Amino acid sequence: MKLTLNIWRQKDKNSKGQFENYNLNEVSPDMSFLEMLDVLNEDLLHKGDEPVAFDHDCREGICGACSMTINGRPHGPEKQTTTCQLHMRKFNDGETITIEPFRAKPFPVIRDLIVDRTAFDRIQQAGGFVSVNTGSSPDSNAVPIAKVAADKAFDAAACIGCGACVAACPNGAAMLFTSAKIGQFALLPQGQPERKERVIAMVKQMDSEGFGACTNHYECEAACPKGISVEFIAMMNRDFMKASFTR
Amino acid sequence: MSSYNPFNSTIFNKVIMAGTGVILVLFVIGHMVGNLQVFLGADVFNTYAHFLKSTGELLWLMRLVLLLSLVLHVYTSIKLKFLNMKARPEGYSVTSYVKSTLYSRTMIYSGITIFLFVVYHLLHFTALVTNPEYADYRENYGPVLQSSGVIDHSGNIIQVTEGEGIFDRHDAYKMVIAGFNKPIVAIVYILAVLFLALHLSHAIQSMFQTLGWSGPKTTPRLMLVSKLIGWGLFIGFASIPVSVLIFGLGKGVIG
Repeated sequence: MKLTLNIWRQKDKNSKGQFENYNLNEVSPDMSFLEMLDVLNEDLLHKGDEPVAFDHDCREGICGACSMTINGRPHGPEKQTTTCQLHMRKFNDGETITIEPFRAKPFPVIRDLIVDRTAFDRIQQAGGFVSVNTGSSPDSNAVPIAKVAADKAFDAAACIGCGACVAACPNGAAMLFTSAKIGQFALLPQGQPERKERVIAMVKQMDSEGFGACTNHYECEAACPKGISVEFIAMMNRDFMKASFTR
Repeated sequence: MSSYNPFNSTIFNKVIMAGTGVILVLFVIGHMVGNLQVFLGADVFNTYAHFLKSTGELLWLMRLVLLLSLVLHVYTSIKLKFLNMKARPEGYSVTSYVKSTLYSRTMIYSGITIFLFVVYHLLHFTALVTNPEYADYRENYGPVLQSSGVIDHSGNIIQVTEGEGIFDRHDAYKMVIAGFNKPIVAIVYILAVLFLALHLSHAIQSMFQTLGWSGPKTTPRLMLVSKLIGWGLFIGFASIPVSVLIFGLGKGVIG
C-alpha cells in the first residue's frame, strides 16, 4: 500500500506545531497502525530526521496509552478498537491520512502526538478508590453482589483511561471517563460508604482541570474503545445531585 | 473540599439547562395547543385569549416563571458555551462525527435564533410595541340586546350596535390574522418554529439524559420522542401562518 501521512509535529509544550507530509510506499495491509508508524520512524531515522513521537505501551488494546486522532476520529475509524489494534487494511491504497494529537486544554501536547493525560490521574486520585483495611484477602463471595450489578460495574470498569472520550467530545468534556470511574464503585456494595464523597470529589477535580461540559452529543460513546455507555453519565448526574443535596 | 460549592459545577449548570428546558418545553406544547384553537373560529379563540388575560395574578406568576426560566436557560447556555470553547483552544483540522447530529451541534445557534424571535414575538403579539393598532381590535360578545346603549361593569355607557353582544374584549383572532397577513411576518415565524424543531429534536432527549434517565432501550426511544415532539410542534405552529397566508384563513375579519 502507498500512503500519504499528514502528521502533526510539535517540538514541545510551548512551541507552535504544524502539519508535515510523509510518503510511505511499502505498507503492508496486515500491519497495525502503530507498526506503520514504526516503519515511518525507521525511514526518518535512516534519513537523519527526527522520528514522530507517539505514545504506546502494551499494543494489545488494554493499556490505554496509544492516543491519536486519525482522520478526525480518536483511535481511527474502527469501532471499539484502540489505535494499536487498528490494521492498515481498514485504509485504502493511496489514501491521505491525517494524524493529530488528542486535543483538549487539560491534555497539553508534550511532543508531536503525545499529550499529557495526568489530569485523568488527578481525577482518579480524588476519589476513584475504596478505603479498605489491609490484611489477608477477604473470603470470596463474602459480600453477595447481584449478577446484573456485577456485570454493569464491570462494563464501567472496562475503561482504560485512554482519553478518547475527551478527544472526541466537541466540548472537550471528560464526563464519560469520570462517570465510568465513579460508576464502577457506585454499583457495588464496597463503593457505598464513600459514594457521596467520591462523586463530589471527582466531579470537583474534573471541573478544576478545565474539561468542558457535556451537551449529550454521545461522540464519547462512539469513540470509546471499550464501548462504555453514556448511561454512566446519567447515573453520575443523578448521584451528584443527590450527594449535593444530602451530604 | 469544604470550599467547593457543587452548585457551581458543570453538572449543576447542566441540570439548570435541563430543568428550565422542561418548563419551556411544557409551555411551548401548551402554547401550540392553545394557538390551534384559531381553527375553531374567532369566538372560541377570543374566549380562550380572554380567559388567559383574566387569570390575573396567575397569569403574572406564569409569566414570571417563564421569563426566569428563559433568562436562566440562555444565560447558562452562553456560560457553558464559553467554558466548552476554552476546553479546546486548538481545534482539529479534520473532524468526523459519528453519533452527534446536526441538531445537537447547532444548539447554540438555534437557541440564539429562538431567543431573538421570542423577544420580537413578545413585542409583536403581547406588548404590541411593533403594532400598537392591535390594541384597538375589539370585539363585542355575549348576550345580544336589541338596544343601542348599555352600561358596563364600571357604570360607563358603552355604545353597542344593535344585534351585537353587550360585552367587549380584545379581538385576538383579528390580531393573529392581521399579523400573519404580512408575508414577511409569516415567513419569520415559520423560520423561527423551524429552528425550534431543530432545537427540541435534540433538547428533549438531552434533558432526560442530564436529569439521569437513560438506558440502552430508553435512550433511542427518547430520541424518537424528541424528534416527534420537535417536528410536531413545527407542523402545529407553522400551520397557522400557512393557513392565513396561503389558504386565506379568517380573510373576512380584516376586510
